[in-house]
Amino acid sequence: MASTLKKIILKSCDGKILEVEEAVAVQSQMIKNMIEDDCANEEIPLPDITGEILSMIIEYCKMHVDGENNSNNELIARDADFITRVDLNTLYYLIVAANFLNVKSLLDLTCQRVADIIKGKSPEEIRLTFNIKNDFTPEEEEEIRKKNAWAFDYKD
Amino acid sequence: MPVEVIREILKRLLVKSLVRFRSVCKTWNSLICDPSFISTHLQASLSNNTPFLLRKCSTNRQKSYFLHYDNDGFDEFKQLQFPVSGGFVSDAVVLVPFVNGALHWLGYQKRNNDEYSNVILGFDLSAEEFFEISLSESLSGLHYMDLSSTKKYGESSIAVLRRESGYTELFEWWVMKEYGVFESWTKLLTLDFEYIPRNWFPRVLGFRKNRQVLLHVANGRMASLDLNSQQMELHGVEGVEVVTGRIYLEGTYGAMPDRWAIEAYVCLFIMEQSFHMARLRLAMLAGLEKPVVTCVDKS
Repeated sequence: MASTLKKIILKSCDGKILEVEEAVAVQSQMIKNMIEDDCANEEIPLPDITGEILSMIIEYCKMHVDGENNSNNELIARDADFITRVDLNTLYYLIVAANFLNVKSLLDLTCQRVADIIKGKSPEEIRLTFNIKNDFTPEEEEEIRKKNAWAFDYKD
Repeated sequence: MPVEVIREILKRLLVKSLVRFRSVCKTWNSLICDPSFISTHLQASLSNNTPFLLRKCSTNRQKSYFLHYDNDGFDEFKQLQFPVSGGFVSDAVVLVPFVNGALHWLGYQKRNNDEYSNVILGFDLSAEEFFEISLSESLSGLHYMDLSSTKKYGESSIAVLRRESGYTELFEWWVMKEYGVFESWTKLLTLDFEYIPRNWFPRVLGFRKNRQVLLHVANGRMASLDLNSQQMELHGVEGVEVVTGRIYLEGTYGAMPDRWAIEAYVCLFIMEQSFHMARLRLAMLAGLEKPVVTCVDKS
């Protein structure tokens, strides 16, 4: 049995080292699996996650571990407070990291936030927001739009 | 952005946004049209939100039907193409019972001898296919709004209200005890109501999840009525045709006795133009017991 006071050491891609209590670290299913497989005794390198993002994720996980006995409404309010402080660019890195570390509740929270931000946008605005290149020919785009014209009757 | 992350975000969008976002780029288009994505998306949206309202729009003699969610914006789920034209009548806005993974409507079908008979049309949400459920022969001349869901028999099933108008209003409550089993149609309840004036407004469409009563007030406009505060709020979603008729509905509301099945028949008399509530009459039918009638007079 692992002691609850055991610390897990995480290393971000920009070299920042963070010591995290095991109870907080296992909010990440990936790290939990590593601990179960006895692969978490040395520092765990996280190649695509910066120190800044990693700190945010740990803040989030800590909030959930500390708030375990709080009411559901309190947690929802804290989640909302956490996520509204994050801009779209940071959100993107948070999602990628939450996906990699497999922190399900954070992935839900961040993806839902992006969905809420983009739901009323036009395809052009989506391309701008995510820096996506339109690879349709004008004819192909026209065809798709024509078939789905009803979806373009919308209000933001 | 990794494809699985895009999928995670798209999964949380409503169908209308998804359909619009097909034209963002080829990757998004193929992600959105991918059968496994469609299935995941459907499961995700069904788990917390089921479309509950069918709206009809008539423009230039073209009729289109849209399904809507029960949320603050009455967001649109999708447009429906009915398999037959004209045979399945529904008015401007109709509440659609969700049972056994399918939405249900009451419609009409022309028989060999030029007579019309009722039939229930189901729409399986996961297969996106229509199917038919036959009605007992004694159930004819039903109004399209008189179909509802029932949780009376463990498994959910469907029920219809048969009415005979005359000096008194006679109501019969029929339930398909076993969903999909024709032989299980059973008359559960007969009710005599005192005279109910014709052309009354509005029609009760049903209870919303927030326990407000959803009303169809006039010309396809909808309103939510909060029974506690007796405040009414008009909504932007509207159809274009005037509905006639009433609906039998099922729901639990506020401090009603904690019974495993309470069907409530809510009659609301509201002055036509001002949407001012003059009188609210609530008749509750708990199981097979005699109806309890409560009158709330505001005037």
